[in-house]
Amino acid sequence: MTDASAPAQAEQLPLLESLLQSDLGLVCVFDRQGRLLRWNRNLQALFPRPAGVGLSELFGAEAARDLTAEVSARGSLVIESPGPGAWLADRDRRVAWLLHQIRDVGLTVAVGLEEPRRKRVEAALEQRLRFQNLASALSARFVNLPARDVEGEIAAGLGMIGEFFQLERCTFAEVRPDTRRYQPLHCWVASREIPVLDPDTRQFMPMLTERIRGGEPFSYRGREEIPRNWVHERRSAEAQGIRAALMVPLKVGGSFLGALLIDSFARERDWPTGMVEDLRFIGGIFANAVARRRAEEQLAGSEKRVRMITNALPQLIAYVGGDRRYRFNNRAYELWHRIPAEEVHGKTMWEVLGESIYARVKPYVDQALTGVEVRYQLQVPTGKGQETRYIEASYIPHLDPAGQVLGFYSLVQDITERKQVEMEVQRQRDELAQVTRVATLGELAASMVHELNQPLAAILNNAQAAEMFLADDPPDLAEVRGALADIIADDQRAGEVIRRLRALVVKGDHKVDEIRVNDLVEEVLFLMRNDAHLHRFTVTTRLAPELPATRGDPVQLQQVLLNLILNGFQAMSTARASGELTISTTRPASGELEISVADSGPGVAPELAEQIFDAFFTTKREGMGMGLSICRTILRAHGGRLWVESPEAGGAVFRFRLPVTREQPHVV
Amino acid sequence: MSSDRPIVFIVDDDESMRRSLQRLLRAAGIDHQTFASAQEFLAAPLPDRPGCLVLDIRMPGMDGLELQTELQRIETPLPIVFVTGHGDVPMSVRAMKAGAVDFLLKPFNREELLAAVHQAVEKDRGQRVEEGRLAELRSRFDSLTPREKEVLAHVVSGALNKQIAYELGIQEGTIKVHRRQVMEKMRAESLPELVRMAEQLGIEMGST
Repeated sequence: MTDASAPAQAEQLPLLESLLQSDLGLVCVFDRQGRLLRWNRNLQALFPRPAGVGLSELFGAEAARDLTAEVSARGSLVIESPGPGAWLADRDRRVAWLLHQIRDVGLTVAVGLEEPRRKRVEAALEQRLRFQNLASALSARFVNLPARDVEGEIAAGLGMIGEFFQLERCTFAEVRPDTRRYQPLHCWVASREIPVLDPDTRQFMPMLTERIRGGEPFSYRGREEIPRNWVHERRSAEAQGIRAALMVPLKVGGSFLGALLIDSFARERDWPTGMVEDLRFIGGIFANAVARRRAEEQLAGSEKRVRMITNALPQLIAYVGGDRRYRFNNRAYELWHRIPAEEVHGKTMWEVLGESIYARVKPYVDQALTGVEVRYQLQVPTGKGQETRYIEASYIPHLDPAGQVLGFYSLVQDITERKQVEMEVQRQRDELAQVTRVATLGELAASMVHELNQPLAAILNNAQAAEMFLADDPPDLAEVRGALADIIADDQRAGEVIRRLRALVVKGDHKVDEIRVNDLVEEVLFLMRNDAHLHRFTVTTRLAPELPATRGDPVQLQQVLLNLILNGFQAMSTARASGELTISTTRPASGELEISVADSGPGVAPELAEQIFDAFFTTKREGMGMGLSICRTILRAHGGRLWVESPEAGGAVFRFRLPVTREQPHVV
Repeated sequence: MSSDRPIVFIVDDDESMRRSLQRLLRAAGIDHQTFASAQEFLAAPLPDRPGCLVLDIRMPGMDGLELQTELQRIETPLPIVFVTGHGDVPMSVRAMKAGAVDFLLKPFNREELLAAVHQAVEKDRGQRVEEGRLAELRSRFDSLTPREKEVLAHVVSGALNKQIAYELGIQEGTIKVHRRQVMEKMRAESLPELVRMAEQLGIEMGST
């Protein structure tokens, strides 16, 4: 029914009103009878007199037939129709209508959208979707791609985008740093007629590089758009017959890696912004892949080099992370641990070394992981059971710039041979020292016999006298007591001599002790006394009072002094004048003590002053020549030194110095 | 004032040794004196009694063997018993050749020591007796006149009175007189005895 109130009612619906005002497609309102009551501008444009337009003109006869009834029944409806009115002429144009009945008022609203626009929108959407899929697919292909497969994937990827964007030629070109020459690594062409760029060529495009190096693509619709001063680029485009081109830079981080070169030969053309952006996006995927490949190659190259070097070395070289797992190890690990070198990687230290060895090195590992460099030696059993070997290990912590410990480098070497040699040398030194001691002792034998005989004889005399006194009637007990007292004293004297003797002969672990040099001199003189008397030598001592103590092996130092004194006696016995031996102790500097033995013998010729300390040098007929060399070794081990001087007055002075120290000397 | 009791002189630089020797001699009831060095001993006046030296060899300054030599030089023939802790053959041979009574190695037992001391003391006694006799002979000889001494020399050489008279250019009868005087003064009972006396006195045949 058309009634005058109907339009008024329609006006009361604000939504309807806004629809009618909008430019959204075709909007109209019709009543139950199919009479057009309202229409929007677009519809007005299609019909000169919309008021008389019937449903069949709007929707087509077919659709219009039961339309109102259907709408009433269903409330909403979507139909398709050919373009109404003026659009009918265009076969391509179709309209999709949404019809909706407003029940209360019996009016139906129809909103129609032109198909092509929708299609275009749909097509565009679809295109975007397809592109998203492409981009995802490409990205997915490059993720976790081994470096060697990157090239192949780029080639395939170029094909995909070439087809997607319907390009004629698409080239992936790499630019070597500091050149502006492009090497076309991969080139895709749409058809055989289109020339492929030879990968062995290098295109010099300096101006282009300057332009796109910042990250902005460059394109030209036609060759005349190429700036005049881009001489190389113009020439190249002309030569190749390129009509239009797009160059998309490939950058990763700050590095300019290369470009995607898209060329058009058939005709000049535009490069829509959307396409450029899409290609930029794709280019980025390629660039990342290439950058990663380069980094990996570099890493592989340097790791290869490192491996080559370290595998050639017999030492065990490894890098252990903060989690105590091996991150790198050289081939030597195979030989030592009987695990293939590759399998060590990733394993923990205790898995590789074994619980017992790990338990012993753990303190050092802990220390290294706190950032302290450690070095240690260890005796380890090898797989062969009985055999043990000695190793020396160094752990060098690896710190990041902030000073955090990331892990440590481990260097382990087998020092068994060296150790064996060391031990052998030590053993021989000990033997030699012992032999020298015994030889020196032999020289003292005569004195020793006398030293012991005195107390023994006195004891015997006293004991026998005591017997006689006891046999008296009455026994003279006072005398007996006196005798016993003397016996005890003499026995102690003898014991002292034995003790000193024993100390000289004892071989074995040397004890390091505090030493007062004046006491040392006195003790040695005690042993030498009779020898001196026998030879009619005078022995004088000049001992500085209150000397600080030093540390060392008293037996060895006594040995040295004894040796020097005996040498002095030897020297003086060859001279005709009476022998005078002077032993002095002084403190020449605040950190040193000096003992000197001066004799009045013939002295030592200056040219022999060093030679006499050589092993096996001797001027004595029965001498072995070991004494002075061993003396010097002993002094060195104590941190001191020994040398000889020939004073103007004649004779020789042997001096040795010892440090006044709190440290433990390394005892020979 | 001389006495017949023997005395032992101990010379040893080791105090403990000295004391033990003293004790031993004390126990044996033998008088003794001790000296710490050869010099000390030489400086001391010796009592006029038979005795001996118990002498250590190794001493500072003058050692035992040197003392032995020195005593011979100054004609003090005190018998020596060497006691030493150091014994080598050359030393002992030297000591014995130079007239030591014994050479004992320390430690020694008392029998060894006391026997040696006894032997030494006896030797000294003997020496002293000998010395006395010699002194007596000497005084007798000194009582001879020069001519008598000449005659004595010729007589002990076995010359006959006639030959002596010819040699000395005097009468045989005078020779006989001198001879009788000599025998009397010398108190020789026989010619052989006179010869022995002459030997002891060291009078050479044919000399004055």
